[in-house]
Amino acid sequence: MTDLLSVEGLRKEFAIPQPGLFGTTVRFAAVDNVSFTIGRGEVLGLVGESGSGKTTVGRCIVGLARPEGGRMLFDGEDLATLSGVARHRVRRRIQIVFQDPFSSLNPRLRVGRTVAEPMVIHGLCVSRTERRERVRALLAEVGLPPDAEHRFPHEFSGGQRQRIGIARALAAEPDLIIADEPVSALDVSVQAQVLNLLAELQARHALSILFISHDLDVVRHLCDRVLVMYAGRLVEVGPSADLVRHPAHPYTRALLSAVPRRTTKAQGGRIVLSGEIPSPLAPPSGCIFRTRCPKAVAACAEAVPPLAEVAAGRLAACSNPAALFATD
Amino acid sequence: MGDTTVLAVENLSVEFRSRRRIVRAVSDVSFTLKAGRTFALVGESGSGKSVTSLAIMRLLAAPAGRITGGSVTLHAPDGPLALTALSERAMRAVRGRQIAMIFQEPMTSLNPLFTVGDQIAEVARHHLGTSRAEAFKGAVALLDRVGIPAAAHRAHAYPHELSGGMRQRAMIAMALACKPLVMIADEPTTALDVTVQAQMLELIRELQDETGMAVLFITHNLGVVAEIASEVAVMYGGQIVERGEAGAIFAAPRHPYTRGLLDSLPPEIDSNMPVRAPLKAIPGSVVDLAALPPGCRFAPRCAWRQPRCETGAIALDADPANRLVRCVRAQEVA
Repeated sequence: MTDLLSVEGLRKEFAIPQPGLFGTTVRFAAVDNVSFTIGRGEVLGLVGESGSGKTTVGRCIVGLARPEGGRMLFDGEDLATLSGVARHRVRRRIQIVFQDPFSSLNPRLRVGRTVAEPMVIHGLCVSRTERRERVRALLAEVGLPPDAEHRFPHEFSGGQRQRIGIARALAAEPDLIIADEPVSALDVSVQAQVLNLLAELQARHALSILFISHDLDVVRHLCDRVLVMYAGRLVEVGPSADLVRHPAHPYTRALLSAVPRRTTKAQGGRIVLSGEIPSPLAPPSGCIFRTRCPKAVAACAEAVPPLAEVAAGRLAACSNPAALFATD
Repeated sequence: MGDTTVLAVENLSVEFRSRRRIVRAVSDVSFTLKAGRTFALVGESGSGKSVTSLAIMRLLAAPAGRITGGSVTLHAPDGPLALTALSERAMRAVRGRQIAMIFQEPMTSLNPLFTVGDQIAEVARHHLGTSRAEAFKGAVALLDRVGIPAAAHRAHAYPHELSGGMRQRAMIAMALACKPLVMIADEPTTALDVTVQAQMLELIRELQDETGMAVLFITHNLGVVAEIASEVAVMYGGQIVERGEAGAIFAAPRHPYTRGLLDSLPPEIDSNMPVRAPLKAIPGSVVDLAALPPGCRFAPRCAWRQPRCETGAIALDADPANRLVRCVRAQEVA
């Protein structure tokens, strides 16, 4: 079976005003040459720190940002070149759940209207009564009380609002959901409820999910595979359980070692990275991580390392073979 | 050093009143901070952990918020100070000098119109009467100490010119300016990436070793608590529900809420649990502080609930191992 989504060489640039000079801007790549696939019914994690470009990747797929380069093939159709009716038809199949359940719902619409809107836009459940029934079914499915449909978003807690956002995404009957940090704004005791809900819905509807998060515990728990981004580039890809236990790339290793643990200690101790993510305006030559990498060698400055197979099912972008899977 | 009490909070209660309702944000909270040690207050939003720290600093928004009971005593070198009874003027001499505070979002707690060097220098100038030039030199030294590269140069930077991690370092430098006895850190790493968070925890630990200050660390992240705190108090609905040695609580929680919280977390990263194995979520949502139940505040969500839990208030009782638990079935939960 073919992949549901195949992203090839995705590039997204942003322009920022240059300090001091009127009207001139500098461009930088927030996402640079990112390629990956999402299988049907697969939950793919996308992890990275702030500024890594993970949210921008999600926004490009949903159509909220227009990439400057690369292709995004969804079920064989290129999302970038589609227009008009064809674009509208494909868009229904890709929905998004946002991080902040407070700002992503229209405060002036009753919850029933919010959930019905995707159906109106995409011509699903054309009759009013049909739509109503479907809204009720969706609200029940995400675990909201039956009277929720007549209430406004401010009457709900954070966790309940995130359920509303999920119901809205499901209303369009999507094949792929982009979930951008959907549980990061929630209280710890509520987070588990929403994670369980996502897992249930995913199984019931055989959904593909791109789960964007900075929380590695959550990603390990929910995702089949993980992509690791650093400063706009993919540095590692692999099955989640294997990747977190045996990280190949030095950045992934440092990232995992920084996760605070309740009961265990990180294998090989903590790798505290010095410095910060390089400025996207002046990225270093070669490997983007080399300025902070404890394993950097001369070759790292010469060329951008390609994402290459380093073990069965495992990809990493690293120029120093001795650094891969190192345990010190 | 480890047993010198520097701050004692006893039976502290805080209310917020509006015309329509009374929110009992903190009820009967007691703990002590010891020199060179880190004490963590953990809880979810609305648990009262941040309000507790604001009450210690006497920074509650008046007139709505006020301390309705209890005391906070600072054991300064020249004798104990009852902070809850101090005048505003006397309290101003304590803030920033004896007790310093760092917040979650350094961007909103730094003044955007002054350079970080000037802001740090101002603390020493205000409290210690240091000269402008001397204080700025001190600020540069502090920025260097907290790991800001090219500190002499960065001291002239405005807050917006620094990254989130650098701003939090600058906040810590400011907190250290007068060598305080106590540093209160309210979710200081929550807005930071994990790799920067790791740097920051490391820095706080080092500085504590050097200065012997006591740290009150407020967070919702149980992993961070396990890393940094020797003692922890878990708060729910404005009350401490469990208090004791951090490692012991993580190994064997006695309160159903603590246990539920730990059980509801996704398994730790190197666990062998299969992907998407259902998590043991706590049902319901956090208690409303304006409509507290008469009995145990966690009872409506509690799997261990009995009729007696819903009638009267439950006491925070000590067990033989000196663990305090606010639950009638604590021995069964463990």
